[in-house]
Amino acid sequence: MKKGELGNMTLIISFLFILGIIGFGIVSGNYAFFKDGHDIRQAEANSLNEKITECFSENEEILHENDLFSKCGIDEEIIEKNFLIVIKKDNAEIINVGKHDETRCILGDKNKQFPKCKNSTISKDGSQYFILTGSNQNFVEEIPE
Amino acid sequence: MNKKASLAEMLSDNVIFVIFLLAFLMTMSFYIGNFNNNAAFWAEYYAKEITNQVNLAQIGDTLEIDVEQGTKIAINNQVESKSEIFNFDNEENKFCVKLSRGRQTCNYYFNNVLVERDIREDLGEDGKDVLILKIKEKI
Repeated sequence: MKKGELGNMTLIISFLFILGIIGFGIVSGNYAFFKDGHDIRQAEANSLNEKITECFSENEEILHENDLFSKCGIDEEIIEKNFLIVIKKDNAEIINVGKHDETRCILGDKNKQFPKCKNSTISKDGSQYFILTGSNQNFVEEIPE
Repeated sequence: MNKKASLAEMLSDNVIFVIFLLAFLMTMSFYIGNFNNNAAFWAEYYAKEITNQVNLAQIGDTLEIDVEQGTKIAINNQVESKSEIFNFDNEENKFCVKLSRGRQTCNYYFNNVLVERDIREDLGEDGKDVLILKIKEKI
């Protein structure tokens, strides 16, 4: 092997090494960004909170789950499976629907199985209402019939 | 110095680099192109975003959503007709998106409404496919 050929070989190795680093950067960046899929739990929690807050200001007091679902046009089964609603009147819990509790909201950022939540407070007829909503809905893959 | 000889020599010296570079560019463009046509990602995206729009909608609203990217992917993946791609199950409050044969991605909406859907081709400013959703009261 001539002296010059050895230099060329070294150059090819470093060239491939640089290409490898660039490729690894593109692939790992893409993976890091998209690995968790498209997460809209926070947006869903916000939508549910907005819907209940609006409904609450238009209707009389909602003191029972049945009132909440019938007056606000919310599907009870879906809430029980994938969402969380907690309503407190002057710190006393009057409604609690869903499979999670409010303490799990804190873990929503770290674990996809826990809900992401939104809370708001309304004053009505001298009482303070605390409304907490959460979503832990993950998409379902199915084989169509 | 013989210019012709030196040019040929330079090309032959660098041909291996050019081949590696082209192979790298082709691999990367295939990877990125493939990702852009990723049916699983786009099905999840449409299922979630559209159910969230339905959650926010009120009775009497009509939603018009650009679904051009989704219909393109579905047609590339041999989904037979555009009417198969986006489907609402009003009994279960479920919305499903099918961008490849044999698999669909579904998401649930809590808003207790009836959704009627239609796909219109070549609508919008640039002649794109548009999903039209009419929000009605559930009886």
